[in-house]
Amino acid sequence: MAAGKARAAGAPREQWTGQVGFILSAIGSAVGLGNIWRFPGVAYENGGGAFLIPYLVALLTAGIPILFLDYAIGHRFRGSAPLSLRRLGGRTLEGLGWFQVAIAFVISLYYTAVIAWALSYFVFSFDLRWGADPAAFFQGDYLNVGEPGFSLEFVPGVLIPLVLVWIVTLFVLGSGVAKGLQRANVIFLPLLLVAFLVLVLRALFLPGAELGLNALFTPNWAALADPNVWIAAYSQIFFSLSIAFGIMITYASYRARRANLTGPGLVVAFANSSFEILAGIGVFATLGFFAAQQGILVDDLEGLTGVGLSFITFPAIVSEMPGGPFFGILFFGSLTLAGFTSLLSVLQVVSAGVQEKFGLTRLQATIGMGGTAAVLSVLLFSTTTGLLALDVVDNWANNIGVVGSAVLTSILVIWVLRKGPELQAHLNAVSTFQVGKVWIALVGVVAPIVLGYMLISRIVSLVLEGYGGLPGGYLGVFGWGTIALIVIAAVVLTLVPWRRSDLDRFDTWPPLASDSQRKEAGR
Amino acid sequence: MTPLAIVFLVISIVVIWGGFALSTIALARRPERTDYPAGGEGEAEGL
Repeated sequence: MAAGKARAAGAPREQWTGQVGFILSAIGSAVGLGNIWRFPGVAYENGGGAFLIPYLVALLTAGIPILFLDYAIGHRFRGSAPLSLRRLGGRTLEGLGWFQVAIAFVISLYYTAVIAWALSYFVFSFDLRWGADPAAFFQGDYLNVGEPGFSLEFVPGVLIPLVLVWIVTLFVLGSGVAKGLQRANVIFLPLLLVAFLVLVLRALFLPGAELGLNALFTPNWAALADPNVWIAAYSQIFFSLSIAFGIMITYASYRARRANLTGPGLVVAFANSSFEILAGIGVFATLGFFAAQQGILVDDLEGLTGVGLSFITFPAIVSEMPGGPFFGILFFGSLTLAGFTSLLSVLQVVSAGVQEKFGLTRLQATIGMGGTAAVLSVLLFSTTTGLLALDVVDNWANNIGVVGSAVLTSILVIWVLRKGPELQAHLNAVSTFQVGKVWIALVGVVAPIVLGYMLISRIVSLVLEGYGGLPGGYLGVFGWGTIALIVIAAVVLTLVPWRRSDLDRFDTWPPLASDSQRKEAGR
Repeated sequence: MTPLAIVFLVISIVVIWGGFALSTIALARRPERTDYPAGGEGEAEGL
């Protein structure tokens, strides 16, 4: 509280305590649900062992370059996404910052719900409560899934863990960057790693594990000729690294001015991918066991990604396994921890944005922003219509919102404002790993082409084919409506005046050669 | 496991975990620059 007041009065910006704290927090943000439930299935469906090639190419040509772009913006302009982008490029860019904040806000609403499910299943693991039919249990007994629409019929089994997740999250956010976010990551990230390593080791000794690993790692070279496989690789890297919706701008803004950016960035990016490979091994060894138990091929298994993998397939496997409860506890505990450290970063984007714009203390922002988000989250996602709404909102927020944000950032920052050389010079002035002109080319050309293609093809397919067989009106409200709300929020929040007088009194550091030349010319 | 799958398992681990190990070692050896431009020590200007 005191820190919040002091900051509003002009004291130093909050900071990580050092490089390790920042790296752990950034890895905690990047390693999330997608590493565990998305990567293994995506790799398997898109070429198996051969997927490594497009995956690496995507990491090096889009993932790491965009990560560096976010770091450079947040670190040079030292603010939340709206403030950093405003300092970089005026009001239009501030609007892009609010667009990112609004996406983060929406994502936090349902991400919390999934963590709440994982927490419930962590508890259910002790007595294998899902019984003989995990699919019926998940949709029926646990979620009480109803017809598409909006109901206020709350499901207590979801409501209670959801409220619990919100309370813990807001407590951590309210405790600040060093004592809240960093401390939570320093505790939870190593805990996640240990729990997941034990799980993978256990999975490797299950009978049939080798069948799963064969399925995952045997290369299908023909897949490399399919453009969709490459798009899948770019999309996996892109969604996995927590880039382009404000998180890494916000996190980098809490580093000291004299701080290495690209060196830690490489560590974060490779750590994230390393965890994905580990998850691939663990998940497919487990799936191999399941296929062997049923006497079928891994190819014939269903539910290999996402909610289906985690809350239907895995419970079914846990039930068949000797020592199943222990395995379930490790899996759902890992899912909860991985999701929680990512959720913190998503909400910090929103908290930082409103703190700076409205001159709020950290506690005021946490209670105001967090309280609103918690109420909306409970209303939308702890009811009988929660699962469907979650699926649709997630699809639009990510595939249209986050990808659109990345394309806009690249075009506006690199092409319209021509800030590539300044940001490159900034990275190089403070970092141990130097980036060349090729970095600007990757961020300015490769990223908008690949991500722009992803965005347009997704919009076309959603317009023409709809989504999940759901009624058009429903998709209009929960899908396109979500995007409309995000855009409206971005416009309104940009138009609201700043509650601080020092908005334009800001010096970038380090000064660039071009700055001193300009000053010379002005004399 | 089949030899082909083992080869790709090993390559994946060497490349990705190797990337993580190399970037971590490089950072441990040189965590920060020693030649920062002048200034940038006080934080008050960087709210």
